[in-house]
Amino acid sequence: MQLVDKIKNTFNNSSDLIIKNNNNIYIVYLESLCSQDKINEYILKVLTIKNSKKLQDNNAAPNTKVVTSYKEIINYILNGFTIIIDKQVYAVETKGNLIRSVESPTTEPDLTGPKDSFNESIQTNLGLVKRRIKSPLLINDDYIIGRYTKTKVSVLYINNIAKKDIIDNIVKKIKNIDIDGITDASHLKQLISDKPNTLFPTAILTERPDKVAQDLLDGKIVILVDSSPFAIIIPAFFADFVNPNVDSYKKYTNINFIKIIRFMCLLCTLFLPAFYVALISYNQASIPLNLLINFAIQRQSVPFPSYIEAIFILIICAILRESDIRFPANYGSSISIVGALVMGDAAVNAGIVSPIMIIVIAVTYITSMVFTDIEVIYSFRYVRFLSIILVCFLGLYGLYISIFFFLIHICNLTSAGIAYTFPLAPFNKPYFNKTIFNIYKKEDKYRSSYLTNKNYHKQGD
Amino acid sequence: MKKIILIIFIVLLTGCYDYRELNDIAIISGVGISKEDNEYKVIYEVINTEANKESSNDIKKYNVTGQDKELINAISKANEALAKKPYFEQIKVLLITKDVNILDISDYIFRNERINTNFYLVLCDDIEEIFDFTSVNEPNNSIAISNLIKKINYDKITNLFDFVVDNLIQGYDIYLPYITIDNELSLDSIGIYDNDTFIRYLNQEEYRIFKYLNKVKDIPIINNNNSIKIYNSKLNFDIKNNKVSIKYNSKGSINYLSNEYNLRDNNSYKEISKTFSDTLYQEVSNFINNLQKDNIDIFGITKLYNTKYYNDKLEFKDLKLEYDIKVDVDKAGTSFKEAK
Repeated sequence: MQLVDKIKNTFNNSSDLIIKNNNNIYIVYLESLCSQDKINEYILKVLTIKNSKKLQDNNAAPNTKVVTSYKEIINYILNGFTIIIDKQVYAVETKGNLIRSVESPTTEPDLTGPKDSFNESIQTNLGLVKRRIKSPLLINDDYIIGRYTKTKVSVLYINNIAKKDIIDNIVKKIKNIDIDGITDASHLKQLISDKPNTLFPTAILTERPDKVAQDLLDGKIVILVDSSPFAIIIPAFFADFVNPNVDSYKKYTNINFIKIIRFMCLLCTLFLPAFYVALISYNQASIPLNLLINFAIQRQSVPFPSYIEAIFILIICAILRESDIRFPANYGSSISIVGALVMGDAAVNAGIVSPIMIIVIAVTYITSMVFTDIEVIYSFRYVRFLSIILVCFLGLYGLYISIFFFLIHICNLTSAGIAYTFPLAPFNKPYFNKTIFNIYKKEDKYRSSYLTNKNYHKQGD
Repeated sequence: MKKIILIIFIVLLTGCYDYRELNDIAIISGVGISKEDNEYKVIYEVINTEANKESSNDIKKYNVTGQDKELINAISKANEALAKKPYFEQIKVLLITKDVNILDISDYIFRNERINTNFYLVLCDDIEEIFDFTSVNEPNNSIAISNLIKKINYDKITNLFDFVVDNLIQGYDIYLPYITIDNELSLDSIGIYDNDTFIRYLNQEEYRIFKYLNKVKDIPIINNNNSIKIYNSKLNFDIKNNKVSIKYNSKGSINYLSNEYNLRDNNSYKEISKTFSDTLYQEVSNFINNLQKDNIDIFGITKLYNTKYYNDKLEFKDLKLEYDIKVDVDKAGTSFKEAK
């Protein structure tokens, strides 16, 4: 048959392309993408029934379509459908179960809140969101990206909340993408970011469907990418990375204390090593005498300047962290032991670093672990190194310059056209009460006017 | 590109101005300046950073000396005797002997941007003896002296070098804490100055009254078999009709009492207050009158008087003084019965 030969040629006689002939009815599918059980159940059983004139009527498959163009046939075959070529051409969904089940979040764990997370199936991910927002106003616009990967991308928003110009902005960026392929949501995130050269992420990658649902209700836009267990949330602001919205599951009075601690952690993780180097190398007068004596005694055996010492341990820590991420989990503990030995005891005994420097760097790294987004942690690392380099030339003055550099840089960023420092600058009370500090849930009545211009009320009228 | 070049130039040309690694500096915790045979003798108390902190045998500090007719040369000689760069920004005390003129040495100290002037100026008889002393409680004598002064003058900064010199320049009479060794370092008295000329040390009785007037807490007042302690006090100078009224209002609580008072009776408290007010009146008036005889005005009363009457000729000894001393003994927390 001509069509079957054409398909064979298109797939270059691929070994997993199966073509069966049953009384001149051809069935064509890719063995690697389809479930044999489903093919037996939905198709082969039906074909054995005599006089089954209308295949579509007798078919038990939930998704059967009549296909009219050759391009569609190829597309369906590549998406795990089985093509039945009779007088008409049908596509029956017989996708194999190639995805893992819904599991607990691994990168954003939290003590409270839902325990499900996205997986690699866009349908499942969409289902997890729609299960939480049961409204026809939750829109999902689908796009295909990638010349070869043909990756399905779904843009989600709530029609009567999200701002149209933000949606148009994102959709325009997605439509402008012309690329061989994307294999993860992070690729798409990079392709649609406002300023690609910045250190800081301007979109959130999350694996928590509850977080996605909360942000959709606030007027943000969510992008799901097929074969990626992460959703992209746009716009995203600096405050969102410091204080994730899972905070809303806890009592506001308690969580506000944690939020203050997080802010202190932010300062520590960015500037503590630089501050220590400035004090030790330039501004010793700022340290109380008794403490200075301790520092001096501890540093006596260290031959390197303090900035070399700091950079040395920070690089070792970065290597340890990277190896911890890359190594299989089973080896993780041995890496930690080696790291702790190298960092802790051996380095001090060898006189390479002082004990106080170990404490400073340990506090720096522990405080960085408060933040879950890996992109943010990487960007903090840049600021940390930059501030140490400035401090080793200019002392505390260099630290102030690096703080100003950091502030100027984040003030210069935008996410989907909104300032990255939102809700502090420009100040916005509803979003401030959601991120910087939490307020009593009953009093959290309004949405931010920067994210919506249609529907401000969350509660009441 | 221009920006990057500019930043590199700024960093390279302006950087490292006061860079000094902690290993390369000799931390000086105290400085002593004395005059011997018309020569300045400068002594530094330097912290030994190579000492093991846990080991009690290791020397925790050492002294370095320089001597010359000129102060600056004496300091240079002391600096040369150090193996590392001298670091003056953590000085806690400057010890001087009574024959050192404060204004003479202050000029060098204020002009040197490497010296932090936030330290106490302290009098002593023998600086070497003080710096050589090894205390059980605090290995560093400068820190020990600084802690002693803070304990006595917990809410005062008047002994800091800046303030002392500022007072001298403005024409005030000053007083400095006087450190001696009596098994331990002790602050036993103050030395009083007529502007920048040393006059004498206060005796024990005078020093006790001085502490009352300087708000030092919990100093007992004893009258016969009764004693109270002052826990709150206020000293004011009211200048009216060419007279200075010295007002001292204080609150005290009972330390111990003899049987003669019935503490359940409110009148007893009035009686106790009056008795102690009279006692303190006697002591304070004697103390200030003695100072007036020496023409030493450590409270700055003359300056206040002359400012009020636009006069700069009157001296402390010419002023008419009145005293209004009140001690209010309250019954908060008092046990009504005697322990025995």
